[in-house]
Amino acid sequence: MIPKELVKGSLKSIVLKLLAENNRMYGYEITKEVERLSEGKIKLTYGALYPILHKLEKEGVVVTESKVVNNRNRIYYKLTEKGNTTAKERIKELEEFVQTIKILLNPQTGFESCVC
Amino acid sequence: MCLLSTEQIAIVTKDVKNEGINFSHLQLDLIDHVCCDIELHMDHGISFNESYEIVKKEFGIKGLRQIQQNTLMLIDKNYRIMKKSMKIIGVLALALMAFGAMFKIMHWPMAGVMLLASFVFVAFVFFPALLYVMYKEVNRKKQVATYIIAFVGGIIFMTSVLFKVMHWPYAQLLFTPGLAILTFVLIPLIIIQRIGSLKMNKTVFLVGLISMMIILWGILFKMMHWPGAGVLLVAGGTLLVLAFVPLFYIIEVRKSESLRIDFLFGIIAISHFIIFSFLLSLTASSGILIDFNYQDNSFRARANYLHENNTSILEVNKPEIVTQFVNMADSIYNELEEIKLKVVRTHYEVSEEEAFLLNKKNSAIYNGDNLNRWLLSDYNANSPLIQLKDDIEKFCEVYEIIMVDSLGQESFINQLFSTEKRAVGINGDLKSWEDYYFKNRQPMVALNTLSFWQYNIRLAENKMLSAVVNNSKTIQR
Repeated sequence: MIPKELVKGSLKSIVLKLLAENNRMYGYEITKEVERLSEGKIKLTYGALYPILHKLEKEGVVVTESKVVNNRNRIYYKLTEKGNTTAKERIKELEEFVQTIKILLNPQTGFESCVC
Repeated sequence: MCLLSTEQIAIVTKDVKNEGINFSHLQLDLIDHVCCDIELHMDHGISFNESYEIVKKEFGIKGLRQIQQNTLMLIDKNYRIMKKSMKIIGVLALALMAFGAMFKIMHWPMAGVMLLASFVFVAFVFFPALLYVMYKEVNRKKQVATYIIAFVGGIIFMTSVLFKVMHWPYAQLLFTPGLAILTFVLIPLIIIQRIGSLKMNKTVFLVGLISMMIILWGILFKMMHWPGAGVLLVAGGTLLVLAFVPLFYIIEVRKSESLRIDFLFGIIAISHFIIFSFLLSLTASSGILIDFNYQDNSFRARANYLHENNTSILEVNKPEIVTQFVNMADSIYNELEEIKLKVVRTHYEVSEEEAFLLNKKNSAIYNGDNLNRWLLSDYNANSPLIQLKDDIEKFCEVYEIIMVDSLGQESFINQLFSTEKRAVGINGDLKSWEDYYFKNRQPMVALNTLSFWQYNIRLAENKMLSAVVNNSKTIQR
């Protein structure tokens, strides 16, 4: 399980990436998908997910559509055109971030060699 | 895969709604999510109820509402600013108010400025922000009226308290409508609106609000000197302590297993409030009591001294001319003593003997609003004051018949005793003698006046006697 603090900053980008790869998704589906892809290492609680989704909607990055499934309303989230660009930018940023962290942690250049 | 029935979905929907989730489509999001989670657990062969309990535990108490708050924080800039400023200003205003109150009690300078500043913060920043935040979190358009009423009533009430503390005029004028709005409109409105969609136990909620309402009514009645204030205060207080607190503990606190910190905080805050306000009122009134006691004692001592003096004069020579006068003086003195005894007796509800002892000990009584009923002739046809007034007037007449007064326009005896009507207040309304001295007076004040008159009686007697014995020129033949 990866600590919450580490995941926190990248959540938005992760959600955007998932939405970019799938046409439309609903909240529960997103949490399950994150759990599945990360092999249970990242658990997205809905306390973290919905504020982000609503914020994205407010910014015009995603739109919602409501559909009745299994006797209840299900809200689907979908990227807008503007959202597609935003998603690409965010994913790129995240990749850069991961690369940078990797360099920092690299035994040749990082501080791990000193510890050894 | 298990699917929830319509009824089961309805249960979840009701619970989510009761949490006050109403922002945009967040309610639908959460209902669907919770249902999906429940279905997942049910796939493992657990019943609906058990699955629901597991899911509830996962998001915890207040969990759903927290999600809404986080969402609002992220999206609504106003909400974010309001909530932050509310926290900062709230603490600041509280600190200022506490310091202001302390400075006020100690009569240090700047108390007024502090209280004023804290009031402005509370009334015009904290309070509106609080209402805005509450309004956003419980976004039911129907309840706008409640918030407006709370705002108006609250502001008026707080202004009146400030005016009262600062001794500015019209505090009373503001106080009554402010408190009336809060008690007669707001609390019933809250009860009506909330009773349907209540998460906590209905009985607890009702008992709490009603006892609070009764206490507020009691305060209002007390301040306006309307009858029945005591009954309301006692009833409200008893209801609160004997019904609400135990009920709240049994039903609400036990339900949520772990002791919540806000419950503890609430207990501490309430106990502090009670202790502080009681102690404050005690110190204030005990200070006044001591002053009155001191004055009363000195009147008694002087009256006794004069009486001894008079008796010794009478023993040496017995001027016949003053016999009637001396008898009148004694009888008025005794009448006054009787009234004093009755004041003590009605207050403590004790026998005559005990009252006699208490009166001797000079017990200063504060807070008894039943004096009017038996003392004033408006309420009691057999008021002792009727007889007293008559006697005093006769006493004055006799004095004036015997003595030649050299003081000019207002004679000595009229300075001591005048039963004329007198002007009171700015308007100069004329008040009758008995209303002037006794209407709505504390027993302590009445006792003090009576002692003062006893002293005056002895004084007049003494003046008369010394005149008769030493200086026969001042006596009319």
